[in-house]
Order: sequence, then C-alpha cells, then structure tokens
Amino acid sequence: MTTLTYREHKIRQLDEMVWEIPRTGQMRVPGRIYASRRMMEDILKEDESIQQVINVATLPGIQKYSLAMPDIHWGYGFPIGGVAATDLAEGVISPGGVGYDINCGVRLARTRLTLEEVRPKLDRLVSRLFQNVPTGVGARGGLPGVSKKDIQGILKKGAGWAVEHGYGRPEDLEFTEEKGCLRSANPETVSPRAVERGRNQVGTLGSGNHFLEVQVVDQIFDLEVADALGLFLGQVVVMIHCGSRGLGHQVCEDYLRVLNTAVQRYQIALPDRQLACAPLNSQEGQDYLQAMAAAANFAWANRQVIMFNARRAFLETFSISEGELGFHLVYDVCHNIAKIEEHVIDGQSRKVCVHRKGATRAFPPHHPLTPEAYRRVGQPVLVPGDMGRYSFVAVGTARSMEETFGSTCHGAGRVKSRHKALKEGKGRDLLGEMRRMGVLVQARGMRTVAEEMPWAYKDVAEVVDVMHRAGISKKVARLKPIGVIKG
Amino acid sequence: MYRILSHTADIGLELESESLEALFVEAATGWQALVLEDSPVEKRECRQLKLNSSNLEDLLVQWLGELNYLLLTEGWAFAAVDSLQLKEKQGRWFLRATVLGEPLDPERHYIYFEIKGVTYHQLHIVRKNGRYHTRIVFDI
Repeated sequence: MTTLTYREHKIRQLDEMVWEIPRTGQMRVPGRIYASRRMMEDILKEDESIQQVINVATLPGIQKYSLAMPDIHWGYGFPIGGVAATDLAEGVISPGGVGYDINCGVRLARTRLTLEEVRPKLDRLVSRLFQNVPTGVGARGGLPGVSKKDIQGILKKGAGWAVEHGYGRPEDLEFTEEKGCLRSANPETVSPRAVERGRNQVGTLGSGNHFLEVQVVDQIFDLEVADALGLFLGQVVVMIHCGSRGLGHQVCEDYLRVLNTAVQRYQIALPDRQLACAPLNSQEGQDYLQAMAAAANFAWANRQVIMFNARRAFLETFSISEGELGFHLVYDVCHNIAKIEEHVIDGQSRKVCVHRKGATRAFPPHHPLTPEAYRRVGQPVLVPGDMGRYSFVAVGTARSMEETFGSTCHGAGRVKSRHKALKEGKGRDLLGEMRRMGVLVQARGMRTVAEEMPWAYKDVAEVVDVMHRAGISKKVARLKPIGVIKG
Repeated sequence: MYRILSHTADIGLELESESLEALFVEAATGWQALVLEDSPVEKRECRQLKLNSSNLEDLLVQWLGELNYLLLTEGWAFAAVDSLQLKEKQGRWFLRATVLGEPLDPERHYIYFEIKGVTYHQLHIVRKNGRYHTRIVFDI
C-alpha cells in the first residue's frame, strides 16, 4: 500500500480504492477518499479539493470520517463529491454541504420501446421534447399559471403536489427518494424572493450541465437486478438531470448569510467562510433545514412535471397508447442534500444529519427506505455521464451503510473549463460531430453545446468502477444517449 | 479594472480599483460582461438599490446577487452604475446606488451564464499599495 503527500498530510492507501488522511490539527475525524491510485494522483495535482475534505473534518459533531467520492472536485465549502454526517445534538448543518442547487438530482424512466422503434422518429421526438420542456437560462413556463398558493403546496408536498394535480401517477412517488417529499419542509422559512425566483420555473430544465436525454440500454452488468428494475438491452429510457432552479439557489444564498452570522453567535471556528453553519439544534440550523427541505420538494415537483411532459412528448410522437409506451419511473435520486437518517455508529443505531454534496444515496437491499419492488436488489443509483458517452445505473450495497453513510458517486465532473471548451469548439460543427457519435442534440444556444461536449468531461465509467470495486455500489446497466435537449 | 477568471467548473472576477466605490462599480461591470457578454444593454431606466451588511465582503455578495436577481427574476438587465455611495456607520456598511438598464429583450439580449450564486469562496477585500483588490467566484 502506498503513501502520498499533500502539504503536511500523509495520505495512506487503505485498500485498492480507499485512501485515508489521518486526523491532525483541527481535524475532528480522519478524511477518507474513494479513488484509484491514478485518480488520487490527479486529484492531488488538480485543485484544492483535498484541503476541503480536511476542512470538513473540522466541523463540530462530524462522525467517523469526512468522506469524498471518486468524482471529487473543488466546490464551495465542501468539495463536490463530499459526504459528512453530523451528530444531532452536538453537530452542525451547513449549506456548503448541500450546494446552491438544492436537490439537484437524476430521474430515470423506462419505456417498452426499443432503439429500432424510436430511431426513425428520433428527430421528431427530440423536437417535441424541446417544445414540451423549457430549457436554458431563466427558462419558464413548464407549468403555466402557477400561483403563489401552488408554490406553497409544492414546497410542502413536493412530487406529491404534482401527482395530485395530474402530473403523474401515485406509483411515481413510490419510486422517488423519500417518496418525493421531505416532511420537515416549512414554506414559511423560504423568503418571498426565493419564491418569486422559482415561481415560473416549475417544469423547466435550466442550463449548464442539466439535461433531458433519450438513452438506450447498451450494456447490462447484472441481469437479475436489471430485470428487477425493468431494464433490458436495446430498451429506450429517459434520463432527467436538474434541481430546484432559482428557488433553491436563493434559499442557499439567503441562509449562507444567516449562518455566517450564526457562526459568530455560536463561536464556531471555521477554516473557510463558505462552510458557514449552525448547530442543528439552534433556531438558525432548524430554519435552514426546513427551508432546504422545502427547496428539495420544489426540485422533486420540478422533475415530476418534466417527466410528465416528456411522457406526453413520447405519446404525441409515436401516437401509441399508454400501455404500448409503458412509460414508468425507475427511480429518482438527489445528489445535493442534507437529511436526517439512521446509521450505525460505534455499533449503535443513531440519527445523524447526512450531508451529500455531489453524492448519491445508495441504500442496500432490504433497507426499509428502498422501494418494496426493489427490496431484494437495493436502491437504484443513477450516475449521469457526458452527453456523448454514457450514464450508469447501479444499486446500493450493505457496505455503503458500513463505510459511507449509504452514499456513492454522482457523476463525471469537468476536466476542461467552460472557457477552454468554448475555445476548442470554435468554428467546429459540434452538432454534426455529435450526430456522427449517434446523438441528436437540440439546445437553446450553441455555446452550451460547446461547453458540454464530451471532451470537456471525465470518463464517468472510471468513477462508477471505483465504487463498484470498492463494493459500495454495484453496476447494473450502461445507458447510451441518442437524443439530448439542453439549455 | 476587472479580469475574468475561468476555473474548471466555475467562473469569477479579479478586481482592482483605487477606491471601494470603484471596486463595487467594477464588480458590476465585470459581472455584466460575463453574464450578458456582447449583448448591447441600453440605459433606458434607472433603479435605486439600498443594501447593508456588517462587512464589506458580504455587501459585495449582496450587490452582485441583487443585479443577478433583477436579471433572472425581474427580467431587467443592468447596463451601468449611475452613482454609488458606500458608508460605514457604527460597524455596518451601507450601500446606495442608482443603476441604469432596461427590460430584457430576447431579440437583443442573450444570457450566457445562469449564476446560481455569488460565493464567499476565498473572498477578501484587501488594500495593497493604496489600491483595493479582491477575487469573487460565481457558482454556475
């Protein structure tokens, strides 16, 4: 086993895919990073994300480890790919451990259609999806006529509000993390400004790395689990990646300010201001937890409405019945959230606040929060890649509960800045290049296409493989994009 | 003076000015250049902004957050600062500004980046050799 050096820290390899930063200085717990040796060397060269793992380890009440998944990269406060659980009595909650896009997440729906059936009408399908699902900066109108009262309902009930109002089926909630609603949500803790920012954005994708993709199951790694999830080779599926839009961004901004003041009041020493936090049992901490839950509910309603509009696009394009289309939600996971969960610590089952920032919940088979239909195989984990290569479906394992507070990786991560990607894309027929890769792309602006080209991203397969080999989440299927809509 | 910083996943501004007021004006100008790039925004309307905070860094975050909110939520694009005053009173900083701009027009304006948040990441306003310096990073 190897030892690497980062500043004054020695990073020890514990296992093929696990590295530990021993506790020193102000660290309350050690740091643990899941990565291959090659990745670890890159992480050390790339940026300050290792320092951020160390910073998180100083948070009051942190339990066991400050964790990082293999897609770790520099974030604000926590690194992206960071996981930390804090004690409810002595610990803190930090918006820096959730991110600006509260409950950014991924949803996967399956159909009965095959590539052969979809290919001839793919052009029409992608255009129809583009019409039905607003994309881009400041996109609005995915759900016209949303009143302030509706927003209150969305903040309180999440995806349940959308289903109650006809945008989906009750079964969809069964296949959504937390059934699409955090009950601790309190709309009164969300500022009028945040509500205003999100009011016209229900059912919209937004911009940047958010997307809606038509994909084909092109590899199956575990036939039994794929079967349980209703996935088969050659099947057409739909993946949606987005979050709580402007409403969530504003909640984060509002509470960073509140908690920056709380840090002084409660005399919490922090190495980075972006780690602003408050004790979980303080008024400020509880207010943030409730506002964050409301924003998370907004994100679930958003993805639910987008999925409904995507289903409509399929029905309109192929003129087939619901039964023939067989459009059903496989699962919906969030990858930017803090939640109160039960975990075993020092042999005792305890409630802790698990921050997952750019990390996905990966609960094992037989866990009570894994949907009944998947109880035997484990909770599905959805890991999106870039728009040219592939995304993955995995399932959680018992080991994730032992080592990572039931968490795994969430995506690929950029390898080139947007600026660099834009420069490289200049003068090139990017849509043509994507078409030659077998992917039809429709976007609001060519700039987003350039920024999001596959070569701007790391290979997500390497990330998923690390967690597979570490035994934290088990690969089930690979999904290849064929149609993409973006901002 | 502002300079655009491009990080792997995010983007920011490096700012330098002879006064604090000028630093805030430069921040707004740099933010506009980033977000709206070469879209021509005309000075047709004015808006008054009043903000306050216990520290300058937070005030800067609020200031750019306000312009971002006007753009993304009210559909109003900032063109220039008409006037800007900063005052410190009993440990609090107060900002009063008049900004010029116009309603967004999709025919003429294109928003390049949706800034999710103006971050506090390594944000320090420092005075060096009689000039004010800072770096500010946006989450996009």
